[in-house]
Amino acid sequence: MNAAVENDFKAQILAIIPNLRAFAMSLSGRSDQADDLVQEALVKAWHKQTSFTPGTNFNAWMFTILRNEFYSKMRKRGREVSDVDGILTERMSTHPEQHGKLDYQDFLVALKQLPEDQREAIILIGASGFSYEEAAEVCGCAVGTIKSRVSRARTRLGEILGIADASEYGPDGISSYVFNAPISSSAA
Amino acid sequence: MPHATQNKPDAGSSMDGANEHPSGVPALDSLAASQIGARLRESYQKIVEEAVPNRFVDLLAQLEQSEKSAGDK
Repeated sequence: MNAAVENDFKAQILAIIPNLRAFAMSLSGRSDQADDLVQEALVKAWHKQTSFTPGTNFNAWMFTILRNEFYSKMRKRGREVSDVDGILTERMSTHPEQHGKLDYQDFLVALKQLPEDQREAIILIGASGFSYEEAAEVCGCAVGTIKSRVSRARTRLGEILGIADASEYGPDGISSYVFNAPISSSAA
Repeated sequence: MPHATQNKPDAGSSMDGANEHPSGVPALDSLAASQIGARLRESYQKIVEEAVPNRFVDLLAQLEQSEKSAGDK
């Protein structure tokens, strides 16, 4: 491969890392696992870069690799039933000054309660900025399937976060945890 | 904790079709859907905005280097 093409490839990889990290974090719910996942996906992508056709959708190609890595890792490791506990432990051990981290960890807890097919669909469409067609490509399913998963995910997240049709935050269950948990003593 | 997700003029812009219910799932009203969408994007964006850890820059340099030295042989 000539040097110009390779530099271009490297530049594309560098540019997509922040988005990949956010996708990995949202998928796995664990910051410690997420960066390992990104690393494995980058190595894999580097070694199969000749299989990428320049001019086609690089982001979808890269996200597909990361997604495949995630599910093959999950299969190897077996289902981790304590994932949510893991986040909570991480949350509690986080220092108060890391406010930003606490904010999104609350949301990761909510995401983690979705079935994984719904979780990836709503992340890809609602946050990563993919079209329904691109998300269907990444997940290897039909566009209609993605639409239906996103719709179910929204409804479920609404329940979990206590955002009801009346658009009010319900005080019950996880929503009170997510929205009312004390973030730091300095806020008082 | 402030509910920063509310009252954003562009909230829900990428969550269009919120009221579709292709699978018979009851649809959320658009305000509820846009709150969820805004909260999701906001959390995701926080991670996107973090500095890229050095390990990834180092990793790419390593991959590039090992390819070069393999090519030299």
